[in-house]
Amino acid sequence: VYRIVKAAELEPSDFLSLQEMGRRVRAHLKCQAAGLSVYRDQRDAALCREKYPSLGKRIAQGILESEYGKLKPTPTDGNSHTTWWPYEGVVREKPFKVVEEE
Amino acid sequence: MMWTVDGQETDWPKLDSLEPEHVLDFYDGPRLFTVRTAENVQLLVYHCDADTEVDRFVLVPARDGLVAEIKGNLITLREALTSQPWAWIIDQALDGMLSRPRIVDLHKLPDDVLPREGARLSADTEVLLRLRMVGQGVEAGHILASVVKRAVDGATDAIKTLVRHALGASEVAGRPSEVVRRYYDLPAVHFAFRSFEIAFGKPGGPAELVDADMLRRIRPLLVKGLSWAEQTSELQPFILFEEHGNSEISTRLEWTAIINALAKLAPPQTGTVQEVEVSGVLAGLEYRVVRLTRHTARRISEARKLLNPDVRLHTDTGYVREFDKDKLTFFLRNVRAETVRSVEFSEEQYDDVWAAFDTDRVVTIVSTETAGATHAELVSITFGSSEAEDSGVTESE
Repeated sequence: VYRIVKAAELEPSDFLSLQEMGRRVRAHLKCQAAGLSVYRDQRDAALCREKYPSLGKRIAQGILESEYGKLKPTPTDGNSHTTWWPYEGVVREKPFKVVEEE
Repeated sequence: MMWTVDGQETDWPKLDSLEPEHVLDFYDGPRLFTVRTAENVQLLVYHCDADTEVDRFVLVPARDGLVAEIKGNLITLREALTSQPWAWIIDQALDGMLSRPRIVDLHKLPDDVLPREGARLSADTEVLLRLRMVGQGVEAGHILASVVKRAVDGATDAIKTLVRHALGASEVAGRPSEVVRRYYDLPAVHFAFRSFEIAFGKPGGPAELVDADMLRRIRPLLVKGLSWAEQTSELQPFILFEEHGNSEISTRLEWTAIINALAKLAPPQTGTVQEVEVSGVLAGLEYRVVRLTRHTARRISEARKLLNPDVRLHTDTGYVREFDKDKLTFFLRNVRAETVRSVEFSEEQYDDVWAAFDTDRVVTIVSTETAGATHAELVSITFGSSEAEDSGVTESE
């Protein structure tokens, strides 16, 4: 899967959910906001970065084995958006590395 | 610490919260959505930045049809935001409290807080090629016919150049078959007049007549060319491939076709159009755009000189004879019935050439001749002599 990150050196702060960042989340979005957005297709991640440049300039790729948590496709308009709910205690940035940089 | 908003505080829009009405896009939370004010006015909201304390949003009026245009991929996100008469910025604190709206000029915001040029809500998978002509004065209600013509001809001629290359040099002369025509005479699936934009869809017609492989063959050529065009390096493609030890004639021919195709797409050195944005499946750009500027056009022009050193331009005056309507060729002869030039023309030039043949009128033609080619290629044809009453005049450069 692919996730947009800010720095070349991956940091835990690149892998925090809205809830973990202390954002107020509406009840109906709580489940999804407890997870992290990733894409299965790198090109969708690249498009997302074009749409929201403030997210970061880099794309990190990671292979999420089952021990890293649960994944569920949550597409917008047929894209490969997927929500990742990491298990407690996993080092989230560990399976990722930056594969694309502007 | 977030950037300072340069804008005056206002009392409107009045919002208690940024509770989304429709979420159009989601990435770690709603990124693009609509809200409704107490007065029942719908606003489009774009999450433009954040730090550890605050989320910052751009709000614009969601005029009738705007949301449908965004969802239908008919408008770029940047245009959806910047083409509205008003825009505000609102900050939301961690506890959900909203700042007072500040009215802003979106064009004065820092880089990287608005969507990039050309980015749409979804990937452009249904559009084969999209061209957007950008320039001062190219705006809604003021689109010159020449701009429209350039966009249509540019796309058509670029694809035609690549299809011809893919088919091989033997197919260059002559009337294109219906099957070949399908690849460049593409259905226009969308026009937009904010700047001028035209999108071409996939070829139509019976499936058995459409060689899908052709599109797969020309796609890498256009992708390669646009990738080169996007580089800031001044290196020319011919030099690039020679440096890699590949000086095969096939590579040179391929680059010649690529550069000639790019020349059709790039903006002219003068005139209204200053930039051309290219995107679409055929360009390998379903997810972003490549901008061809006048600087790119200069690089393309230099590359053409390198790749086509033996091309000569001729201006001849005479009579169109031996008009071959199948092969789309004719002989230009002088008053003494001597052949001045053997010329190949395009279907778009057919009517003019036919009229010259049919009426026996003297014409002046401009053509390009490539060393080794059987026919010169017609650039233009005009009735009358550049040297009155003295047909058979030839000038070359």
